[in-house]
Amino acid sequence: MLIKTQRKQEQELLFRIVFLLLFSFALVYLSIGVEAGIAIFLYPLGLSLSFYLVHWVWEITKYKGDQLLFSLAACLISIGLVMVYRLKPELLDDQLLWIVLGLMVLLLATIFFRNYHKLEEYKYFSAFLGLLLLVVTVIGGVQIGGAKAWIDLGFVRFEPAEIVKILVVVFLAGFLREKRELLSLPTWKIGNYLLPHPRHFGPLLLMWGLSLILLVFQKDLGMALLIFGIFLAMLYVATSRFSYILVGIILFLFNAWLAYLLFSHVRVRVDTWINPWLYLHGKGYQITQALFSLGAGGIFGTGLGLGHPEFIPAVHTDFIFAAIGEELGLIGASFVLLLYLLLIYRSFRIALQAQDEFGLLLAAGLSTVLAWQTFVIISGVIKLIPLTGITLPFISYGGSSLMANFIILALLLNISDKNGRAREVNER
Amino acid sequence: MKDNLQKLFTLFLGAFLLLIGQLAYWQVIAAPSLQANPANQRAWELEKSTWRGGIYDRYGEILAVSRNSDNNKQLRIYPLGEEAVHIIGYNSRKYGKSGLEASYNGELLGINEEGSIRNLVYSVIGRKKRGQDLILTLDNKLQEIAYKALGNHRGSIAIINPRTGEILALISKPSFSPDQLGSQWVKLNTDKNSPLLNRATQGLYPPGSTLKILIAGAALEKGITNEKELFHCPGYIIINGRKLSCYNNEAHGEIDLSQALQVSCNVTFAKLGIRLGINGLNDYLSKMEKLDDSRLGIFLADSNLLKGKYLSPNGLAERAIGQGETLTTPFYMASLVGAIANNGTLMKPYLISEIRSSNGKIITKNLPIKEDQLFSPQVAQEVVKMMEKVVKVGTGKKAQIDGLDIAGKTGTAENPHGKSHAWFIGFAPSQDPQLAIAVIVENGGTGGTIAAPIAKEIFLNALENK
Repeated sequence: MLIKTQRKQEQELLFRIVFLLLFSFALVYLSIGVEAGIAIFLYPLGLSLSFYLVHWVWEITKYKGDQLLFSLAACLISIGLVMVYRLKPELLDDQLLWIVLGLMVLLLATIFFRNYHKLEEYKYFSAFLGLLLLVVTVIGGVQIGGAKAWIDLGFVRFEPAEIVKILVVVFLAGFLREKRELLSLPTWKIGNYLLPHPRHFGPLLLMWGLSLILLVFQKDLGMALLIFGIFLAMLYVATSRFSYILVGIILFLFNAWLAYLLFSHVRVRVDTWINPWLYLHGKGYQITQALFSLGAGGIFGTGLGLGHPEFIPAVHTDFIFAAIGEELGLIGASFVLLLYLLLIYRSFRIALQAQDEFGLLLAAGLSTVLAWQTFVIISGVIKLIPLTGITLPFISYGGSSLMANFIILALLLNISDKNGRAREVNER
Repeated sequence: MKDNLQKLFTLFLGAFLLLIGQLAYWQVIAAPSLQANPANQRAWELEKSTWRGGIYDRYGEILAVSRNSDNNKQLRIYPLGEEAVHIIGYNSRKYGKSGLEASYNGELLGINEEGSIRNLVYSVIGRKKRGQDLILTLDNKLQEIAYKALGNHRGSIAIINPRTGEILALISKPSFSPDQLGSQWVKLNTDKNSPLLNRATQGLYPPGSTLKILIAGAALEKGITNEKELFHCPGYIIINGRKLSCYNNEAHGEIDLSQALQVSCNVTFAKLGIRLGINGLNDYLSKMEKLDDSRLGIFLADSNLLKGKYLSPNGLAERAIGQGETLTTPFYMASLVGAIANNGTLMKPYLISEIRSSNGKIITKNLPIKEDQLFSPQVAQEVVKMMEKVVKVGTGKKAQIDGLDIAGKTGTAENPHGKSHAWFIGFAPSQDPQLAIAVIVENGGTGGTIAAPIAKEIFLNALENK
C-alpha cells in the first residue's frame, strides 16, 4: 500500500495504524465478541480505508496540512473505536458513522474552505450564534446525566456547547486580533495602577457571562471550565498581560466558591473529589470505580477485553480513560497521554508558524481547546481535580464531540496548509 | 505573541507530566490497596472465572476444595468443618475471608500466575483458570484427635513436630462451622466466648508454671545453680515486704531443682528469677520472642514476653513463675517445649509446606529452618529428665501412659477472669520426641487435673498407630 507520495510521513503512519486497528480488534474479538462473527473486521477495515481516502484526496489536491497532526488524530480515533467496541459493541455502528461523517466534513473543509480568513468577518456573528445556541439549550434542552446540555431534534440529539467552544475561539481570535493593542496598552488610571480602558472589556465580560450561563443554567461544569480556560489562554497569548490572567483566575475562584455554596451538584463534585471513599456506594461510586479500574490495570494492564471497566458508569464517554488505564496499564495510558501531547505540540507549532495574527490566535485557541479539554477530563477521572463531565477528544463515544473535534482538526490543518504554502514560496 | 505561545505550551507540558505522575500513583503505588479494597468487585469477578485452588494436609487429604454445584457455581467444601476452621478459614462473598483462605487468597486464585501463557489463553477463550494448591504441614487425623480430646472445654491445643518445626495441629474452641456462617453470623460476632478467635495463635494467656522449664534451663545454662543445690521452701517467700506463696501454701521443705519442678515450687523459682535478673531472663525470652508468623500464613498475636525493661525483685519473681504481666499464646508454648525436646534447638515453626501450581509444579517449598539455639544439648537433656519426673511422680501424673515416656510440665495460671487456666505442655516419647504439645483449658482449674489428661489422650491416640 506504500505508493510514491508527497505525504510520505502520513502514509507510513497510517499504514501502521491499520495494523494497530486490526490487531486490537482481533484481541477484543477473541475475548468478548466471538459470537458477533468475523464480519466485525469490516469496521477496522472500513475505518482504515476512510483514512486512506482522506490521505489520497489530499495527495491529489496537493494539500500542505500537517501530516503528523492528522496521523496522530487518526491514531487516537482508532484507539477510540477499539475502546467503544470493547466497552459498548452495540454503539460501534454509531461511532463509525460519526467518524466517517466527521472525515467527510474534514475533507470538504480542507478542499473547499482552505481560506480560513473569511471566519474573521464572522466574529461577532459567531459570538451571537454561540449565545443563541446556549439560550436555546437552556430553554428547550434536555437533561442527560446531570447536565441540561442537549438539544433533541428528533432524529438526532446534539450538544450545542461542543460547537459553542469553537465559536468562542473564532470570536476571540477575531476580537483579540483587532483589539489586542488597545488591550495591551494601559490608559485608564486608578490610583497608582494603569489599566486598559474599561470600554474594551465589554465583549470579554460577555465571555465570562457565557461560562456563567453554562455553569448555572446548564449545570455543565466541564464546558464552563473549558470555555473559561480558553478565554484566559487566548487573552494571555494576545496581550501578554499576566494581570488579566490573575484577575481572571480570581474571578473564576470567586465563581467556583459561590457555585459551591449555592449548588448541590457542585458540592457533590467537590466532596467526592476530597474524599470519595466516604461515599463508596453513593455519589462517590463512579470515581471510586474508576480508581479501582486504574489499580486493577497496574503497570502493564489486564489486556484488552480482560479487565472489568464495565463497573464504571458512563465508561464509554467521560470515563473512557479509566478503561484504557485498566486494560492497557500505566504504559498504555501514558502512551495515549504522549499521543495527546504530540498532537498538542503539533498544533501549537502550527500557531507558531502562522502567517498572520488571526491564524496564530485561531490556532492557539484551538490547540488550547484540545489541550485543556484533555487535561480537564483526564485529571477529573484520576482525581487530580474535581470531576467535570466532558468528553475525551477523539476517543470518547459521542457524535457532537467527534464532529467538533473534526472541525477543530480541519481548521488547524487549513492554517498549517497556508503555512506550508508560504514556506514553499519562500524556498523558491 | 510567539513567546506567549511557548509559555502556554510549557504550561500544558507540565500539566501532562502531572497527569502521568498521578496516574503512576494510582496504578503502581496505590494499586495493591485498591485491589484489596472490599468494595472492589473485581476480586469476585476473578473468583467467578477461576477454579480456586485446594488446601491439603501433609498426607494429601483434602482440607478445602472447590466443587461444581448444581447451578454451575463453585461450592467450597471443608471436610474437617469446624475442627479446622480457625486455620483454613472461610471464603464468603457476604462475610469475607479468614484464615488461609484470606492470607493465601492471591495464590489460591492464581493471581501471581496471571501472566502465565496457559492462563492467558484460558482467559482469552473464556475457560476457567486454575488457582494454586496449598499443602500444609497439618495432620488431619491428629487435628481430629486433638479436637475430640479437648471435649467441650473452652481452650486451645497446639502440636508441632519438635525436630522440624512443622505444625501438626492447632485447635481452638469454641468453634463454628464454615458452612453455616449465614445462620450464625450475628451470634458468632456477639458471643462472649469469641468463637471466631483463633486461640492457638491469638489467645493470650499468662503461661503460669509452664514457664518454669525455661527458668530451670536458663538457671543451669547461666550456672547460677546446679542439680545439687538445695532450696528451702517454707510455703512462701517475702520479697520487699510482699508475700508470694506456693500453691495452697504448701511447704515443700528442702528440695533440689528437679524436685522443685516436680512440685512446681514457686518459692524456688522466684529465687532463681531474682538471681537471673532482667538481663538473664531476657536472654532466653528474647529468643522466643523472635518467633513470628512469617511462615504461618495465619495471624499470630504478639506475646509480651519482654514487657518492662526494668523489673523490681517482685516483678522478677512473678515473671519467673509465669504470672504478672507476661502473656503468651499456646503456639509459643508448644514451640518452647519443642525446643527443649529438640536438644535445645528452636526450630522456626511453619504451616505451609508447599505451594503448587495448577499443573502440579512446586512453586514454593518450605524446609525446616533453625530459629535459634535456646539451650545447650546438655542443659536441654537435664530439663528433659526433670520433666519426665514431673509426669512420673510430680504434678503431671495424669498424663502418664504405660510403656511410653512422656516429658511434661503443668501450669495453673491465675488470671483476672475467674478460675485459673489449666496448662499442660510436654512431648513424647521423651527420648525420641515426635510430638510437642501445649494444652490450655480456659478457667479449667489446675493443669494437673484438667489439662494433663487431655494431653495423655492425644499421645495415646496419636502415637499408638506409629
